[in-house]
Amino acid sequence: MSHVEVEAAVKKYGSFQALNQVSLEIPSGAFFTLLGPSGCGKTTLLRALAGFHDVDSGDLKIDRASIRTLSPHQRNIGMVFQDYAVFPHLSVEDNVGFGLKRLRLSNKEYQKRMLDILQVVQLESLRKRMPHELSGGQQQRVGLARSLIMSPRVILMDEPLSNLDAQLREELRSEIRRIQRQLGITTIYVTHDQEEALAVSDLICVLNEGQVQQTGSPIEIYQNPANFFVASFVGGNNFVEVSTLSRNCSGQNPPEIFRNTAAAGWLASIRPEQIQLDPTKVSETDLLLDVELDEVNFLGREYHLSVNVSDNFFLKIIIPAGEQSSPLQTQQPHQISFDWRAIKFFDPDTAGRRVLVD
Amino acid sequence: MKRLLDFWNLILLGIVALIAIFLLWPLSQVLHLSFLDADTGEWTLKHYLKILSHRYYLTAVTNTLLVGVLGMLGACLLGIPLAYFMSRYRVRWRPFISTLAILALVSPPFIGAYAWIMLLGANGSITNFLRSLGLDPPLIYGLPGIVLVFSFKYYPFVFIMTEGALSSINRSYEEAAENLGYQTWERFLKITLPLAFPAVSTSAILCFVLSIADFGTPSIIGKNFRTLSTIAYNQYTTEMGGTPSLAVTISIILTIISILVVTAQRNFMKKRRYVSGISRKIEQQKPMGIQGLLIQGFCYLVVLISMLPNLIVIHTSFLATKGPVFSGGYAMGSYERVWREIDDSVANSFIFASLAVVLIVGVSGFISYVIVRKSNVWSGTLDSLLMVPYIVPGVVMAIGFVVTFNTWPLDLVGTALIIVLIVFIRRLPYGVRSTSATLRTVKPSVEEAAISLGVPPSRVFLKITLPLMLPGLIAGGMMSFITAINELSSTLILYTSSTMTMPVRVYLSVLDGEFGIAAALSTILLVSTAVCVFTVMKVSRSDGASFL
Repeated sequence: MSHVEVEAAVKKYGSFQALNQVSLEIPSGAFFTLLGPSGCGKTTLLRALAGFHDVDSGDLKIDRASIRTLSPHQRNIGMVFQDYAVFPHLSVEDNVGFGLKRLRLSNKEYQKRMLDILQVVQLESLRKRMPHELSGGQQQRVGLARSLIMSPRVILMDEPLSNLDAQLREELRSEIRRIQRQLGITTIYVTHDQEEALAVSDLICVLNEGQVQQTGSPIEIYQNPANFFVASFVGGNNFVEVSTLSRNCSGQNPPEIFRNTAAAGWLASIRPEQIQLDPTKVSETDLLLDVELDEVNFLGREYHLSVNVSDNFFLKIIIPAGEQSSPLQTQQPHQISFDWRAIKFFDPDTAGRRVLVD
Repeated sequence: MKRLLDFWNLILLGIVALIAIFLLWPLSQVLHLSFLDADTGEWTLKHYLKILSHRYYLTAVTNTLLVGVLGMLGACLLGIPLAYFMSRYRVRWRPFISTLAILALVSPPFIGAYAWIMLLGANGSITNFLRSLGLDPPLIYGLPGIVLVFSFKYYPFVFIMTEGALSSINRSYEEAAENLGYQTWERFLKITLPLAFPAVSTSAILCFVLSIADFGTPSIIGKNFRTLSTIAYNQYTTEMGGTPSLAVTISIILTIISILVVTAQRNFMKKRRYVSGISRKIEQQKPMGIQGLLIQGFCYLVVLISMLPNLIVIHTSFLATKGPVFSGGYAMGSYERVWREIDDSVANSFIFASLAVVLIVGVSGFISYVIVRKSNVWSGTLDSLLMVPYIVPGVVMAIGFVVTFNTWPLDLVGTALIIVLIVFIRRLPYGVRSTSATLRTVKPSVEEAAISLGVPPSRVFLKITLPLMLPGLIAGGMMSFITAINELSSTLILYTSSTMTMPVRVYLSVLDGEFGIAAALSTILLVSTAVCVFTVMKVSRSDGASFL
């Protein structure tokens, strides 16, 4: 269980700025996720922590001590790879014990640790198998066990699930979370899948273009995005200019900001699931819009709809399928509503920074 | 981390030095001498002018191009259909066909020429048979014979490389073409062949370069048909003792032709890199009816004809002889004579080839690691430099060694070391290519995983990288051994009576009319080559495939 700090880390590849003054603090025992699109710098940071390359400036610390001068094999940091990196010429057991063998433990101790870890990742029955006899999910369990058995101070996971199919991905993801809780090991997890990040993390750090956009709990990140990038990257969202929205809506008590000309160019965002279709009761902070149903996608549990408000003004809506007594048809007129207190505002003139409105 | 980098830089420096001394220096000496007036010691173009103004030399230039182009076309005409049939149809006894093709490829280069003479030459068995029927068959000497030999000698390159490419083409492409209304033949020309073209053209150019560099075949079967490599050798032997000005100039012209052709092909290919995502395996059809019979017949015919020279040589080696004359019936006389009369050439061949292979294996391990894992300007340069031994003909390389390593501190001419070294530098690319291909399939994350488990880099190299590279090292070592033990064009210039090798002895025996001894020695070469071939096949099947 170790505490990790990244201080003003900078890394350039030619003119490309992979990390731009990145600072982070990862509490002991946390499941910490670096989330962002490809090229955002998340893997660069992870590999710098592992020691496979150095940062140009800044510092990397574990338990208050810099690790920058340590060779990668001296850092005692575990790593789980996207392509599993299971040694193809060694059996499951030899893979898992590869690092442990160097510690010259007594055979009893070695066997105990081996058995313990194989139980944790549920591979006891496959210990004699060779890697090519394993499925992708089983190979990644080997990768996980191999680094866990060393009791590393920190474990790094570089998109460990992205090569697996959807169902297995969800299965293994909750298992990784269970193991992490059970062992209480500080984990830094890299992914570009926002749903995965929300599901497993204690803390998420959203990165874009080498810069930290926001760090917070999954709920904070989702409900209180710090800027336009976070609001658009994490979870589905609708964006519309304030002036367009105010022109097209009605309500008993519309927000004051609609009358503020300085705010006309701001972007208003509302999550698809916060919009009601054909509301039965309307409160005084609700906005009402007349729309035409443009697209209907039935997903079993819910409907994903796209509605047309006016020219080029469309909104995405998610509603539970159970609430609809008869199937929805396109091109039918409907009314939608949402509470304007749920709207988040972003100012494009300040690189999409969130503007707080009372 | 820092120390490791220094270690690899040191290795890189050593490799660069090795290549500079034993590859670039001799070649630059050859280039230098071709512009040097031996009498006055001044720069001159007179050697080039002499070659470009004499019909004798100009004919050799056109002959060389002719041999290259026709040999290449012949190899393609045999190799491409064979590759297509083998990749698309369930031809029976496939391993048999592949094995024969590989054996034809690795058999000693001049055996073909000499065996075809025994069939179709002035006193050949087929010639005599046809004459007994009252026919007057054309003789094989000259251009037709050379092209015949090269076609059946080099088609396996085209076959093996093209078959690999054809088998790895994503099936969906062909299905998509079919779905858009293309028939089999059209589909082959518009989709399949263009996708396999990188492999086809690479192998075709290889055939061209090997054809123009070959010395044994035109010199045995060519009669008065001279190519640049034969006149370079003749010129060298007549200039012996003096400065081999004309020999080096001819060498330079020969090398320039190779370089131009290879560079042209590489540039052409640069724009044609095809990336394919998920690959669906090709489904092979069952060959049916007359068509199926013809297809399979073609496959067997090609590999059997290409094996014919080897069979004739083995057969000849068991014929009873009286002196150089065959006396009828079978006996072990030729082998006895090899045992009694022949100097150390058998032992020499094995010793030289083995030493060269030990060097090659050791050095290619390091070179491959540097090229694949430490990519920077130097490793890129190294990669390109290793193309040079492929391109430069053996005669040229040998002349370069003679004019370079004849004074202190590297006075090597006449020693066994010079033969080991030239074989080493000429066959190094085989080792490096095989090893680096294997290393490329090992993902770097595997090494990183080991390091992240607390294992120091040197141990990671030993425990992870080396075992994973091993199949490539063994296969590369065997391939270099095969080509090393069959080396003729460079050793013919460098040998002395005490450093005679088997191919040289075979060549001299053929010239002397000692066909029995030539056949017995060739059979020994063939058998040792075949043993290596089977080792390579074993290694790459049991380990190479399962590691992927």
